[in-house]
Amino acid sequence: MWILRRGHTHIKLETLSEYLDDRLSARTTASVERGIADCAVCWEELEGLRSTVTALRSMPEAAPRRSFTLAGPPPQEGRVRPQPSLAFRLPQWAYAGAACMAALVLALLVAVDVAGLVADPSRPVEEALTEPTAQVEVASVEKEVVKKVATEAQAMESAPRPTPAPKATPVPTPTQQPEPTAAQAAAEIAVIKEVAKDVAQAEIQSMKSPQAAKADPGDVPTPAALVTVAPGFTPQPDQAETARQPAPPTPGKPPETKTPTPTARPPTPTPTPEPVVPTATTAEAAPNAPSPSETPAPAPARSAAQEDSQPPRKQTASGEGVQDPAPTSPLLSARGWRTMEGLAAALSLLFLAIFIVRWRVSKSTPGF
Amino acid sequence: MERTRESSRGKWRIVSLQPDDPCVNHTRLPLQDRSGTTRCYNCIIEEYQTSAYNLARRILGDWALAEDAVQEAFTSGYRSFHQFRGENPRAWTMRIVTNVCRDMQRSRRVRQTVPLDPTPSDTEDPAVGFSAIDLPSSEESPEDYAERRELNRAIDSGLGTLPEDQRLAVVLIDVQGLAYEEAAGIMSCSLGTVKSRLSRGRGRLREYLRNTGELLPSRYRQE
Repeated sequence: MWILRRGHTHIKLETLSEYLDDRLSARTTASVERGIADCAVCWEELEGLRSTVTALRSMPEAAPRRSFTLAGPPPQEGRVRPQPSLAFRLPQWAYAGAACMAALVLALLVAVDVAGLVADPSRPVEEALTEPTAQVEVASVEKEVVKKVATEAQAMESAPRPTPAPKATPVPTPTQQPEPTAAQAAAEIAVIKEVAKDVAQAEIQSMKSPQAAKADPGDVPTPAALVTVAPGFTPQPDQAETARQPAPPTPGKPPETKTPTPTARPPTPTPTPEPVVPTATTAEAAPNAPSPSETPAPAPARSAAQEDSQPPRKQTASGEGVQDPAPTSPLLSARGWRTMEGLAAALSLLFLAIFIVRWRVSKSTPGF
Repeated sequence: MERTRESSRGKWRIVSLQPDDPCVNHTRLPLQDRSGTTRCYNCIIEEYQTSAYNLARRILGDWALAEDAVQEAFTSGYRSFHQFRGENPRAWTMRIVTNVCRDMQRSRRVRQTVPLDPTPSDTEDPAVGFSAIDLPSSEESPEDYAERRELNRAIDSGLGTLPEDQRLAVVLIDVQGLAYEEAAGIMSCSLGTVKSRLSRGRGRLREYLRNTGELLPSRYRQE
């Protein structure tokens, strides 16, 4: 008997449970009945389950203490809470990060602006010169230049004019030169003023965009370049430059007609062809030219007025006037840059405000 | 007067009862299901409220919570009557009650770890009165009445020790007498899962009753 029972496996609990509920097939039911008849353990298991199920099914039901009938149609379910707006759907850290990013962008924009990397190409130099500060600068520069020229002219008049060395060609003596009339002086002062204005413009431009001036110095007319003479024109010598030159021209070495300016770029165009003003230098530079006493000089006042009325144009080496290239802006126009700065500031404040509002709401609402 | 309400799943109507309807006396809450059968919802409530109440009491283990759950279940059932297919109103009601009890367990963190409260007859509230479970029958001796009460307490305690799924399977099939298929529909699981949960629940309860066999009536006492 023990040998025969060695291969017996007890009936599973689930099978016994189903056997109690008569949910097994006939074949499985017969197998279970055989196992129960042969195995006392399985029989005990089955009887225990049967007692438990009998006890459960014999449990009476407790009557409810009250009736659950409805007196009327129940009210409709409460209104669905409206979905929060997008500002409250995103996580809190999103707004903190957005505010930080906007603040960072704003700081970057301001830093670039403060560093002077922003230029305003839309505004011409003339417009910039109309600014009060620019006008003050131009006026001060003009005053300085005029004062300097006046003192130098007085010094030249008072001092004995240098007698040129004897030359092979007859050179008109300074005594032969006519004294500058009042009109000539006025024209001279007007030309000087214009040169001073150009110099001031160049300085202002270089102050505004140092990088551009550094990158392309040819665009910014230097004071020397402003007075550079184009070929075919008699140069208008800079009075200060002339006075600054210590030594008179070497005898026997006629100066060239085209006096190169002391700039690094000789072909730099000059702003305007200056009218010939008879000076000692020009007289020396153009010995073959007719004497001022013989041929009257063109009306300098009229030419100066013409020059004043005409906008300064640069000239190429061939003398052709070209349009002034627009000043290049390094990064962006100032107006667009300011707009971006304002936008970044507004976004930063907006995200910060949303972050604070959400934080306060979440603190006051526990289930938020 | 007839009102029609559109729903996402279908159409159900609140109609007036006809004179030949079985529940003509119940003039409130007449409903017509999708099959066209007109019912009085209060009739459904009165028919199944005892089963629903006991089911909720055994799931939740608390009388007051069970009452709240049943009331909420019937209210919810009225709103979702359009989902009733008219096949088995008892299973439909039990399913609603089970879902409500589960929601309450989750939301209120109700855990079946303490024995059930005393029966209503044990309370000192005179308005509660006596229930059928406590009234001694004329054929029952005082000893049998006492044994029955002890058995009920032991079973309630044993049910409280079962896991939630096993307890639900045991209550639905053994206490409420539902079929396996109905229990599977209520528990939203497969038939095999129901069988497994039921057998394991029965086995655990058997062990519990065996350990407390001294308190069981002689005919249920397991040697």
